Amino acid sequence: MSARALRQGTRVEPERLSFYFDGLRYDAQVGDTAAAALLANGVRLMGRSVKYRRARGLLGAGAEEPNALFNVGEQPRLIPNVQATQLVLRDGMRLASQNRWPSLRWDVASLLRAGGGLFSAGFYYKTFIWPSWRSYESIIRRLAGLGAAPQDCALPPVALEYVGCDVLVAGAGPAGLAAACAAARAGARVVVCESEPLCGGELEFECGRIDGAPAATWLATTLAELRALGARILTSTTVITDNGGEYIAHAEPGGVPGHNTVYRIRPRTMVLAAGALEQPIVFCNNDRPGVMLLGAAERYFARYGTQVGRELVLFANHDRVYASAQRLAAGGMSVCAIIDTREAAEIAVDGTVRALRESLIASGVQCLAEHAVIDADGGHAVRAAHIAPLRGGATSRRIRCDAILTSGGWSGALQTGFHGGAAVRGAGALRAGSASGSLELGAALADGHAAGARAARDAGASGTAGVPPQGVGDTAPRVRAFARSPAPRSGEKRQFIDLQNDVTAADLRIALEEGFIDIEHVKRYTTLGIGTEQGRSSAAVGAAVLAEFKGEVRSNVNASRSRPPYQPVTLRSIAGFHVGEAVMVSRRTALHDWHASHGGVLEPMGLWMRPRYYRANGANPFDASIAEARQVRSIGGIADGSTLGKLEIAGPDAAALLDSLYLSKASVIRVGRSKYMINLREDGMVLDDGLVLRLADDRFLATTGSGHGTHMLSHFEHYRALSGRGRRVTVTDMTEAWSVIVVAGPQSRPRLARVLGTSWQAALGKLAHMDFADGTYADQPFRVLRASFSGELAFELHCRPSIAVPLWEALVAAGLAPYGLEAIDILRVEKGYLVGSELNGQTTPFDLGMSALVKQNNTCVGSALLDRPAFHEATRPRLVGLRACDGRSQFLGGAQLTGADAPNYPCGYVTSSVFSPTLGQWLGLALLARNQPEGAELTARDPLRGGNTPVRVVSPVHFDPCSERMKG
Amino acid sequence: MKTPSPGCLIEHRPQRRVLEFAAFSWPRVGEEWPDWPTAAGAVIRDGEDSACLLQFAPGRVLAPNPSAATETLLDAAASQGAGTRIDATGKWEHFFMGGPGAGRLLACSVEVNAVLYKRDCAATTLFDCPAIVARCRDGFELWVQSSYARDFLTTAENFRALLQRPDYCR
Repeated sequence: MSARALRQGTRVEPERLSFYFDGLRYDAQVGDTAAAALLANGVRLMGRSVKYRRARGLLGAGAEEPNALFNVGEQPRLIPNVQATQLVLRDGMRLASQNRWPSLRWDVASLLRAGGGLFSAGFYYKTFIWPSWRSYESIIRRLAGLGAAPQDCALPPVALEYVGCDVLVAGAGPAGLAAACAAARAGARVVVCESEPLCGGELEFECGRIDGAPAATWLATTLAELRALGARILTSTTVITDNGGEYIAHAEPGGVPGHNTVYRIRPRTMVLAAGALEQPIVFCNNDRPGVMLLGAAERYFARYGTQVGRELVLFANHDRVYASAQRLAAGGMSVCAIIDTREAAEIAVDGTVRALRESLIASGVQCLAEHAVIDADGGHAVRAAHIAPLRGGATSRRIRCDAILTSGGWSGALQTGFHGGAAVRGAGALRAGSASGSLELGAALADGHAAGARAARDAGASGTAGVPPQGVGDTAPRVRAFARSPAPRSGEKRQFIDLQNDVTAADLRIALEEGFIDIEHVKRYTTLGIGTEQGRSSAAVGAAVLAEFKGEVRSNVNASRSRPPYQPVTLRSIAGFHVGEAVMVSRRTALHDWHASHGGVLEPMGLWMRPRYYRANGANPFDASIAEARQVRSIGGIADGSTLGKLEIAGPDAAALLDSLYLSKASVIRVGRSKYMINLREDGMVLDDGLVLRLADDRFLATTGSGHGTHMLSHFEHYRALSGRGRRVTVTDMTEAWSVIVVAGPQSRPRLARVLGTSWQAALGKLAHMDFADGTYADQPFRVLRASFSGELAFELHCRPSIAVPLWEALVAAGLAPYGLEAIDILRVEKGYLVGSELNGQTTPFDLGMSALVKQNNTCVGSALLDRPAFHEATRPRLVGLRACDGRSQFLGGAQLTGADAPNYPCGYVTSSVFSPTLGQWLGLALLARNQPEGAELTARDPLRGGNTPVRVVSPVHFDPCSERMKG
Repeated sequence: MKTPSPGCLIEHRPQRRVLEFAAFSWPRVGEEWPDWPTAAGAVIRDGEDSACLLQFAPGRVLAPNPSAATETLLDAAASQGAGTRIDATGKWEHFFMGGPGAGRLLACSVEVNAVLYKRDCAATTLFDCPAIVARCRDGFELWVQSSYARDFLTTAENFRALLQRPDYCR
């Protein structure tokens, strides 16, 4: 593109840069937004609509823009849906339009317009039902949506900041700054978020005076005062949602997704002074590129020196259109006509407006009262406007133009308040300035000051807010409601209300005729205000048109509720630091690095990382786990059991508390002994299992499942608190204070004795099953517990984390090889021990074969409900063992079990299955209906993974039923 | 706005012995003992500004690197029936965050001034990791549950590097 004359505006610098749009290079100036630069380069066509692929240009100049959404960058790291109006250009930036193929100008899918009737409101539900929705789904999904997802989501990280303050002010226009100043003067800690890079709002355009000085002087003084009072002013930062009293603000200087900051602000009170959004007026073909908001045209000229067109038609329903026309004409644009929907007499009421209008007429501008733009000519750009009187039925006239600037009044930018439920509760943040309807400078300042003073008072600040600033500027415009130009029914299909989603007046009429009365139902049926648009430019107009069709007054129809975020943000921003490996926090044992550096393949178990198997033992998990299990059964092995939850219960009432929490009594355990025990939920289902060690008369250590430690701590603390303040017992999480090394296998005792030394040899020999001994090892507290979950002679070594690695390495040196979770599962299933999936919150002690524990008649949480008849029905599950009938075939956990008599009705399912190197075949545990006897032949059905396998029900204890090996 | 974020030092301090004391009831525990952090959030420090006793949650006291006097105090409290003393060595990893940017770095996870409002220490969650945070003369002392310590440090270091980049300055 050829070099153009330098433009002058409040936002642009004289330095030039270049950028690419759809592969073509364009010139711009530093400070330009993509929208301003493209307009300056004569580009009008900037996008295609989602449904009909109609040509679209800019509507607005800020966050309200629904059409000009660009891809920024290139695959694999492009960022979609960036508003051209918010994107400040950088040299060499590459932008691309969306929703078109092969090009923006020639889009194949725009042929869909020919079948526009097929895409009316609710077309998903009624057009594509024959032969079935599935027949069309893939095509529609390919066409639907905004932009393309990046193929690589590795965006730069997001800086987070949690911010506390007394008063948060959203918006730094006159009202917002007045509010912030009043609150800060009263002593409140104030944070101001302004979505634009500069503070001042409308003061950027208006030539008003505040406190007797030019507005710009007041702006500079106020900002200086705010900073001196310690207020924090965050520019280019938009409050994107109210998350239940915590406001999320997104800072994206320049609008370029990537290097940005997410603020989580928790104020005591909030003032919403985010201004007002100018609303369009709907007429036929109002979506042509070149139909824009009047205020946007003024902004493009004032900020960037960009003319939105050469021949303008202005179409409005309020006084301010005349002052705007004067400013645009002064900027070198030719105002061909001003179309005012109001009667001439109403316009003439205000002397200033009357004089202004007369002067415009004198300068050759056609000023038509009680007229409307009813249609626009053009394809990729507006060529002419059709004007018709609102009364009298005279024929329309055509006025040649290249831009139609509409203004249908203003609607407060209250979307953030809606996110917090303000529309529902009628509550929410204090509103000030044009957000609350104060469109005149003096009123906005007074409004803001009052809101700020009240916010500070509500936040507990006791100082005085000072005197409100006195402002004189443009008078508040008189607005006569007018949302839509008259059109025949056939024309309503071209009256676009939601430009982003191609929702027309005809769609609203259809929705209403089909019984969708409520605005929220209409929204969902027609897609009005969905997507990134969220009603910023369509909600108020949509509500007004719906009210017209219903024959009701506008106030009876609410605008649809918008959803967060207020502006498009990347998912990366929402994710914060929870991406990649940090998507979820991980817990590591003291032996983690050893496992990782010795071929341990770590996998998450809850938050914990545990070794699944060791590569040194096999090339794949199956081979390695078989080798590891075989090693344990033949010689011995060691496993890292540090992830077991460990709760220390201490105090004179410790035994009583445990008696109330476990199905069997802890009070009967002797010091130096341990016991396998289970907890119940309040409804009688098994909650967790583990060992309870009695360390002293008044001290116990309870172990829990690896993933259950935190939950069990809460459970214990809950019942400790419920048991009353008089009870003398405490519960302390000791999970990380004790590393646990499990030593299992026939050679475990002699090899352990060799490692621990002579001081422990005698103790190891004396320890009976479930006994433990306390002492020291390497001058640290140390405990050896004889307990087994593998069916082998086994010991648990409890040591401080600081000595876990040297102890582990000494055990490895003694010939005890490490084994992982897969091998643990094999050993447990062989012995019929619970693996974990059996404790699913739906099993009772009876189901799991623990009736003996119930017979101890201890009264504990959940025990009262064990007598429920339903717990004893024949269809309740019970834990059984399974083996393949042919002794060879594999079956997997999760397979459904069916009998020959009812092949379509499962009578149970496989909870775990392993290949047993000891028995040379696949074994399993299952939860099976009690009426299925041992010896029954069933089918393990697993159609998605492995097909059907005939299995036989056997005892859950597959190996060493008398536990001879465990006894040593 | 574009001034660089102030620097921050993250120091992983060596593991020492740690005791915890849990009171049977609260808040009356320790009123009769002069060296006891009677209020929730109170911290008793020694002459070198090291934290000796921190009541990090109601009725829960942490005694990092306890002196003989501190051990005697905790034993006395336990023997008088006020609560239980537990040797929690290995449960916590000790960190120090200092420098002018320490508060900003912590603000990536919590608003530390709100957490420590009218108190000197508190149990909280930093970057999803359970931790105790205490204000000290030059910054903040942190005790993070040791199984989370690696992730805590990684995330904190990532944010520290990020905040030093000029294009992130606010």
